[in-house]
Amino acid sequence: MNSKYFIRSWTIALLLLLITTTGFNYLVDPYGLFATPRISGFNEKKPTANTRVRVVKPYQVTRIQPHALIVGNSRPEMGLDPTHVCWSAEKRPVYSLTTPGASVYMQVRQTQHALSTTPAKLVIVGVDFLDFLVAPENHDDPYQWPPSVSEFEHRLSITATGQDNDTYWWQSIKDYMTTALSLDTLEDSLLTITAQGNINASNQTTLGFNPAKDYLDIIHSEGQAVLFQQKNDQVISTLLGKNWSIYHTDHRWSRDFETLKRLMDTSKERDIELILFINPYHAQYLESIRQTGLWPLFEQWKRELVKLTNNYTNNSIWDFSGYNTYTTEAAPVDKETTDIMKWFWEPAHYRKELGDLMLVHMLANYCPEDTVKAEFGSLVSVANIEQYLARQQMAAQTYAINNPQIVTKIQQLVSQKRNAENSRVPK
Amino acid sequence: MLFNSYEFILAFLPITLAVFFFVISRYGHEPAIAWLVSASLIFYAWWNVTYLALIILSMLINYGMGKLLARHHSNGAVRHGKILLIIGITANLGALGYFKYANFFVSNLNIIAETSFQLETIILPLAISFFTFQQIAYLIDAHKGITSEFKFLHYALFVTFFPQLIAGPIVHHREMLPQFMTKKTLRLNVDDLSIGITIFSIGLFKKAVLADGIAVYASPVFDAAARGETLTFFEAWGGALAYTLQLYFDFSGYTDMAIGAARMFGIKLPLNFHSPYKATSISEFWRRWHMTLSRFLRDYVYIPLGGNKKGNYRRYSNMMITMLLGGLWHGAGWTFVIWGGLHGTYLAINHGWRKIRSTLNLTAGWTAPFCKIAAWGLTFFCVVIGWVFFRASDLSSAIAILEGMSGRNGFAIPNAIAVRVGSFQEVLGNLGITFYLGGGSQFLFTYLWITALLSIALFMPNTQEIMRNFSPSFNTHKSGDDDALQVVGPLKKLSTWGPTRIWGVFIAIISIFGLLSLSSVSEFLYFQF
Repeated sequence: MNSKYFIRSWTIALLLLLITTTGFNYLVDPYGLFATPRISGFNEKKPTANTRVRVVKPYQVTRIQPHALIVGNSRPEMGLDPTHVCWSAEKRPVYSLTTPGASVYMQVRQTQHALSTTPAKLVIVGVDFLDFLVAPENHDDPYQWPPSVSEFEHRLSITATGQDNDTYWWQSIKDYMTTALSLDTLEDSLLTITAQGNINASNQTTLGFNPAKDYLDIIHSEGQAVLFQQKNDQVISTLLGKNWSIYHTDHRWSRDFETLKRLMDTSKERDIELILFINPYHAQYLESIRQTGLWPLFEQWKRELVKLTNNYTNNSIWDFSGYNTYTTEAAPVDKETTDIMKWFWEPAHYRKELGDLMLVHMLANYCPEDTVKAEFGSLVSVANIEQYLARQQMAAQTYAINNPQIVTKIQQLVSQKRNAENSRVPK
Repeated sequence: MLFNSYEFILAFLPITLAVFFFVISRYGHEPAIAWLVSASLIFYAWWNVTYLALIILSMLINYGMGKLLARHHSNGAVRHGKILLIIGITANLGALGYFKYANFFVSNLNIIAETSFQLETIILPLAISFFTFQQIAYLIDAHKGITSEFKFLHYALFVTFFPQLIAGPIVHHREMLPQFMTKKTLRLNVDDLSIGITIFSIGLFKKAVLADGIAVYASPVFDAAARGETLTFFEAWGGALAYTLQLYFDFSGYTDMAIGAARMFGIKLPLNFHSPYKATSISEFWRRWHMTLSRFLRDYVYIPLGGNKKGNYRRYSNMMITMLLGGLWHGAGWTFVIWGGLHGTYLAINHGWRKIRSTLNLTAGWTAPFCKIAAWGLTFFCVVIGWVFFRASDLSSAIAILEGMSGRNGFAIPNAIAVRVGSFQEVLGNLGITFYLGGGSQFLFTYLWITALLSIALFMPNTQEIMRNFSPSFNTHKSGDDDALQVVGPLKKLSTWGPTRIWGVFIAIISIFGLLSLSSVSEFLYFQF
C-alpha cells in the first residue's frame, strides 16, 4: 500500500476545486454581494438573490453610497422603483433598502446603518399595518432601548445606541467568506446562469429593487385568482391569529412606534428629510380587515402614526391605503390565466405601475415639471386625519354595497377560519 | 466544537494531529497520549467549561473504583466487590438520572400526585449518556476480573478520546486500551491518514450535504403537527420519510467522522452502522443500527437479566425491558418510551414468527425475491412508524402524523403540480385527491430528496464496504444474504476504495462538498441524547 499518491492527488484536487468554486461563485455573484460586473446572458439577472437580501443589502447600500433611500418590507421592494423619473439628479443614486418580512426594528436598524455609512439625505419609509400588531401576551417595556441584540445586527456598522459596532468587521469577513465558499452559493450560481433565458426570472437590481416578474410565471400557469385566494387566506389567518393590539399590554405605546420615533429623532439631528407612507392595499385586503373586526385598530394605528410624524417638521406622512380606482381594481375570479391586473399582483403587493403614481406624489418637489399627476393618496396630518378616516369609512361601505359577492366571499373565509380555530383541540 | 465546523476541521483537527505527531516522534508515546487527553478535554470544554469538572471527577472516581474492584476480584473478596460495584453503578446512574431525568420525574410526579414541585431546568451535560455507559461497562468488567491494569492516563483517553466522546460509538475498554498501549497504533502513518481522511470526508458529506439537505423537509411537518394542524397523506409521509433519512445520514455521518478522525491517529473505533435500512427483519435492523448501543444493552442489560436462558416468558419480558430502557436512554420523554416499547414488540413478534417458521418447517420458499422484498418493506415500514414517535415533540403530534399517514385526513397535492399534469388532473380528482394552494416546490423537493437518499441508503455500499480492503473499523458485521438487501456485484467492485490517484480526486470532490456546506452549520441529532 502506498498512500503517498492518494494524499498528493487529494490535496491538489482539493485546492483546485476550492479555487475554482470560489472563483466561479465570485464571477457569477448570484446574490450581488461581490458586485462583479453583470453580463447579459451570463449573470445579469439574479434569480436567487431574493433569498439573501438580509445578508447582502447592508453591504450593498454602503457600496452604492446612495443619496436617497427607500425603506420597508417586500411591498415597496416590489413597488417603488429607484430609477423613477421623479428622483432628481442630486438624489441619485437611490437605493432600495427594503427587506421582505423584516420587522420595523430590522428596517429601522438597517436604515441607521445606511445613514451612518452613506450620504443619504432623503428617506422614504413604507409602513405596514401587520408589522405593528402586538400580541396580547407582550408585556415588554416598549421604551427599553436597545432591546436584546439580534443576529442580523452584527452586520450593521453601528449599534442601536449609535456606537461603532465592534463585531462588524469580523461579521463582514465571515459573510463574504461563507458566501464565496458555499455549496448553496454554488447551486445558486448554476441556477443563475441557467435562468438567464427566462424573461420572467426573479431578480434583484443593483439598486435593491425587485421587479417581481416571477409572479407572471405563477399567473400564467395557475392564474391570478389563485394568488388572490391564497393571500386572502393568509391575511385572514394572521388577522384572526391573536387578539391583536397596537400597544404592549400595560402601555399606550409599542416597541415598533418607539423604533420609528428613534429613526425620526436621528433624521432630525442629521437634517434628513423623512417621508412616511402607508402602503396601498387592494380593497379585498381592506375588506378582510373590516370583516375580522380590526378596522378600528387600523384607524387607531393611523392616528398614532400621524401624531408621531407631525412632531417633526422635516417629516410628512402619506396614506395610499384608501379606496380609489386603483385599489378597487377588479380581480379575476375564475382560473383564467391570461387575465392580468394592471395595478396589483395580489391583495398585499402592488405593481411598479402603482408605485410610480405614488412616487409622483411623494417626490412632487423633485419631479420634472411636465410630470402627469393622477389623483392618488392623501397627505395626512393631525389637522385632517379625523375627516379623512370618516371619508374612508364611507368609501368602505360604498365598496361593500357595490361588491356584495366579494364581501360574501371574505365573510365566508373569515367564518371558516374562526370555526377551524374554535374546533381545534386545545393543547 | 462540532465536527462539521470550521473550528474543528480547519484548526482543531490539524493542530491536534500535528502536535501529536511532533510529540510522539520527539518525546515518545506517553507524552503524546497526555497531549491527546488534553486536546480532548479542550474539545469538551469548548461547549461548556463548567462540565469539565464533572467529566474529570467522573473519570477519577470510576478509575479508582475500577482499581479497587480488580483488587477485590484477585483477592477473592467477591461480596465486598459486589457491594462496591452496586455503589459504583448507582453513583453513575444517579448522576445520569439527576441530569437527564430529574425534570421528567418531577413533572410526572406532579401530574400523578397533583403536587407542584418546581425544579430549575437542568442542562444536560454533553456526552453524559455515552461516557456513563462506557464507565459502567468498565466497572462491571473490573468486578469480573476481565480488565487488566492500566495507567490513569490511558483510562482518561479511553473515556475522553475526542472522536468518540460526544456521541459514540460507545467504545469498550477491551477494544480501546490495548490499542493505546502498543506503539504500533498511535503513530504517524500515511496509510492511516489517507484512510482516515476518506472515512471522515464520507461522513462529513453524509451529514452536511445529505442529512442537512433533507432536514428542511422533515422539520416543518413535525412542527405543523405540534401546532395542531391537520396533515394529509402525502405531507405526513413526506415528513416521516424525510426524518427517517435525515436521522440515518446524520448519525451514521457523525459515526463515520468519528471513525475517520480516530483513524488519522491510527486508532480503530468499533462499527456503529451497517446499512440498517437494508435489513429484512427487525432483529437484523438492530444488529445494524447504533450497533455499539445494542451491544451494550445486550451485554449489560439483557444478558444479566437472564437473556433467553430462563424460558420463553422471561425471554420476551427481558427483551421488552431492554428496549424500554434503550428508549428511555435517548431522552426523558414518553415518546421515547413508546418508541422503545414498539421496538420491543416488533422484536417479540419477529422471534415468535421465527419460532413458528422453524416448528412448521416453513423455511423452503422463503428466500424468493418477492418474500425478501416483502420482508424488507414490512421492516422498513415498522421502523418509520417508530421514528415518528422518536421525533415528535409529544404524543399528540405523533398521533397527528400517524393519522395523516393513515389517509384519514385525505389525500392532497399542490395545485401548482396538478395544473402541470394536464388532463391527468381530472383522473386525480376522480380518485379523491384534492388540490391545495402553495407549497408546490416544497412538495416536489421533499419527494425528490426522499427518492435520492433512500436509493443511496438501499442500493449503495456503505462506508465499511467501500473501505473493506483496509479494515476500516475495529470489528466487522457478518450476516447472511437473506438478512438484508445486497449491493449488486459490479457496483460493489467499482466502489471498492484503494489509495490511488483516482480515489484521491474522487474523495477530494466529496471533501469539497462537505467543506462548502460548513457555511450553514447545524448540530448533530444525537448530541441531545
